[in-house]
Amino acid sequence: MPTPKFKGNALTAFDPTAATPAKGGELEARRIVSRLVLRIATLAVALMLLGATALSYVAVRIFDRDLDTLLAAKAAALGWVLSEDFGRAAALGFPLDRLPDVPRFLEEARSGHAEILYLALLDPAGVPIHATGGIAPDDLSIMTEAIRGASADSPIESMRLESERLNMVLQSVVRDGKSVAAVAVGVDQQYAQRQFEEMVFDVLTVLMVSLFISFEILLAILGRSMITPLRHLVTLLERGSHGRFVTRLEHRSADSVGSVIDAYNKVVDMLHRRYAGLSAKAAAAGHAMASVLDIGHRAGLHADGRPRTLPATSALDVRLPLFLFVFAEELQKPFLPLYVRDLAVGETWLSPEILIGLPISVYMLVLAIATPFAGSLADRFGIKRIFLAGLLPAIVGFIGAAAAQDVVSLLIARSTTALGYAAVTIAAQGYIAGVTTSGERATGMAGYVGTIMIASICGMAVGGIVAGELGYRIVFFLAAILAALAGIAGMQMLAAFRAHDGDTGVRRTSTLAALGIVLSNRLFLALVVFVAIPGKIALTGFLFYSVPLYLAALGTGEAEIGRLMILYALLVIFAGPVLSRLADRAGHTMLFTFAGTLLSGLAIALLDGWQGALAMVVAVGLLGIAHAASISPQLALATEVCRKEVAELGQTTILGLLRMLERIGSVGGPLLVGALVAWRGFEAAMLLTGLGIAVAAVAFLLINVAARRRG
Amino acid sequence: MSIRAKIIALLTTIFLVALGFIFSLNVMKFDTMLHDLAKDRAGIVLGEVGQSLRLAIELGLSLETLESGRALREHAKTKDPAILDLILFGADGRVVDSASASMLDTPIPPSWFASHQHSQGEQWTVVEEERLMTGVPFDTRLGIRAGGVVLVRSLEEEHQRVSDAFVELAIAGAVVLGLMFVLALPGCLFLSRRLRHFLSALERRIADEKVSEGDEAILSAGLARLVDTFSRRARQLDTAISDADAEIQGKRLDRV
Repeated sequence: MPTPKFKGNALTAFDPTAATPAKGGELEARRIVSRLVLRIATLAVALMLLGATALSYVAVRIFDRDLDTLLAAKAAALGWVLSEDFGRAAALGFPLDRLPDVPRFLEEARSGHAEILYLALLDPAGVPIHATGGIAPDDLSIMTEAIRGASADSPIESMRLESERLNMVLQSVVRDGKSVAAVAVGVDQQYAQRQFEEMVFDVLTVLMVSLFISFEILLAILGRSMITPLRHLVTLLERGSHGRFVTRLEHRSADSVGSVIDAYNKVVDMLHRRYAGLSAKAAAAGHAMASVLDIGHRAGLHADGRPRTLPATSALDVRLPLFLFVFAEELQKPFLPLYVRDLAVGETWLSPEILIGLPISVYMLVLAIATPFAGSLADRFGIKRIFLAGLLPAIVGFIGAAAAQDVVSLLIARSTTALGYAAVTIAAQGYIAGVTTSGERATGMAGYVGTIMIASICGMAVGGIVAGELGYRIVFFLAAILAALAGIAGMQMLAAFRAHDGDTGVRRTSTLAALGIVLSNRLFLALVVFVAIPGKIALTGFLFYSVPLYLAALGTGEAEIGRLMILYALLVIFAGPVLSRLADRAGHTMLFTFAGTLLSGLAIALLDGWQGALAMVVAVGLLGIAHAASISPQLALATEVCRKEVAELGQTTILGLLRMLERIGSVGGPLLVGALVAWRGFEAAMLLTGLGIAVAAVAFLLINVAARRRG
Repeated sequence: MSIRAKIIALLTTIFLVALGFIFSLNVMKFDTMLHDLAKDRAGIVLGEVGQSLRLAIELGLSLETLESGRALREHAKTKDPAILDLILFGADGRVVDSASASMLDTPIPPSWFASHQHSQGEQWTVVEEERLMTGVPFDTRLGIRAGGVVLVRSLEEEHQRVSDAFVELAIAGAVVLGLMFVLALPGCLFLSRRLRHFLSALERRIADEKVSEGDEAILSAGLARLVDTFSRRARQLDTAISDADAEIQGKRLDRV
């Protein structure tokens, strides 16, 4: 390093406070990396769309070839059965052209075979006597010509004809060895293609999930190798520009980010080394030690020549492990009630409707009880250990759920997974709190919520598809594998440290005492009882419990159920920020909370008078909008009505208590709705649940209006 | 591993996962369709065979006294060569007629019997390994279950077709993946170019080395000022240490 001539007193001229801090460096580094992530994600999506289209096209071409043969064989079997039946009638002397119920008979024969577009009984001249389904005149004339061309003495045996629209199979109806009529079966030429077209939503879902996954992985990998080290580097450069060279950055990488950090570390190492030499000389000389120490003190240099090391950790570290774990856990959402229903066959110790809701309720209960314990374990044993240890019961629970033979064993398995979920999520939150400064914590926690929501969407979408194709048990095995991958990612990406209390300066109070304080606030109590708990009842009792059962009863597949459930999550993610900004701007958090709760109740009650899949789509969509409108304002309102308690206990404690209390609704939701369904049937249960929530919303409004009038 | 290599490896993995998923979906769909077709075909044949058996039972004949089992079997096989056996069994589930002599007078497997019991008069199916069993129960006019018939059909051909399609599609998938990789490569190089220049400029500036004009332009004024201030402070400190060192040396010499 060039050393310009220093003028003046060396021991006093170095003044770190004189430096001018340069702002915005971190922002710039982050902007460049974020732009890169976005562009790469766009490139990935474009290429994935191309690839998916190409592969699907090739698949249809390959499968179509085999399906043609097999569909023709099936059509031949059907033609044979029908010709045998008509042959028996003809043998008994019944005139085939005067049998009045033949069209109905043909229609019945065609039902259940979606690929058969045309079924007919033709006379020896090839003219239809009875027919069902439609046929183009050109196709009919092909069959007519074939029948005319055949001699009565040599009956047609599974003759295959082809047109652009139909694959046709002809089979003679034989009496006394002679052909007296013919059965024609027309198979849709495009059937295979149509079947694969039905998969287009599955493919799009896969692409959407792939996009989210690629975004998460890109953020995790680039975050770890670029965003986090560059962010720390810019902070250290800023400290250096203030004259503080205390810390070197720990980052082992052979890439260009590693080179940049090496360049920085070299400067810091060199200064520390030089200062160590100076200190040694000063000590040996026996004078000027105080002045040398002053330089070291001002610049943060150590006499041992070893700078402090800053590990490159950030909230992004926990993103991928958390994403994989939540993804695994959410896979079961579109079908869990259906799985319980299958396992509950023959179980009589509880009403089936309540029994089906029990695993969701027990899971929520165990989660609520285990969460505080998991928090204290993380304080004691370290966050990384608790994150990894939490995966063990979760994996055991997933495997147990896959192997469950009855509802009780499923309950045990789900409770075990809930223990793991509590540990993993608390550890993830603790990690974010541990690696962020107080100013960054809100952003870190927003990232946590975002990761959970995206993982939830991906999990539900993939879970529905896999369950529909491979069955429920396989999904739980897949969940166990994903949770194990979360463990590998966690081992690689998480730094080991213990949780610390971020709520500094605030009185430490036991949960019970804090509960006593906040529940004495009537407006907070009203918020819990009339908004938060009903909100969770709507979520677990309606969305998680009723939606899969209702749609399955309509014949909807698990993949569609999953897609409908992600509609809710998408609305909360995308409409949530817009609506909460609107609520903040208008300053009507209470009104938004009320309106959201009221709308969620009405959305559910809607299903009393309107039935069918479309009604369910509308109800779920309205619930998504309702929760998007009320969740964030609800949090803002909680801190608003608890100003005194926030000052006393801290905002985190108040919101934590709100989250804890609302779990009463999560636990009770499926049981309550299940009991109502058992008592009055599905429609009445929806009406009662919806009206209950709507009435709670009105009660909440009245209490708040009265409180405001009182001032 | 360089950042470019990391991004390319990452993208390839993501493509692999996405294509793998789409590949699996297609193969599973094909497998389901073939199984459904086999079930339909067996169901159609069984419907026809069952009709004549049902008529006989309704006329009061017991399944044990039926002698047309072999003929029915042969008849069914002409319509679907994959049919392996047509098994008749009584109300207690014991086999009364089968192509396999070893099965005679033995109970049908419990899984078949359970499906038969729960079938409510409709056709039922059980899939075991390479075989599809489609059965139908028979009730007498008095509504008493008289027994049933099971058509055993091989699924070997369907499985072979699925595995052939699997190989063909896997090859196609590998080609598509290769093309995606080839397209992603220049894309990634192009997209990461700005980042590379940014990092190079930052590295050189921190190391107090000369930065090319192109790279220089990529650093914002704010960041450039930050790095310059950092370097200046480092030089000042270095100088301060040198001066202090010199002063100590000087005083030592004075003392000598």
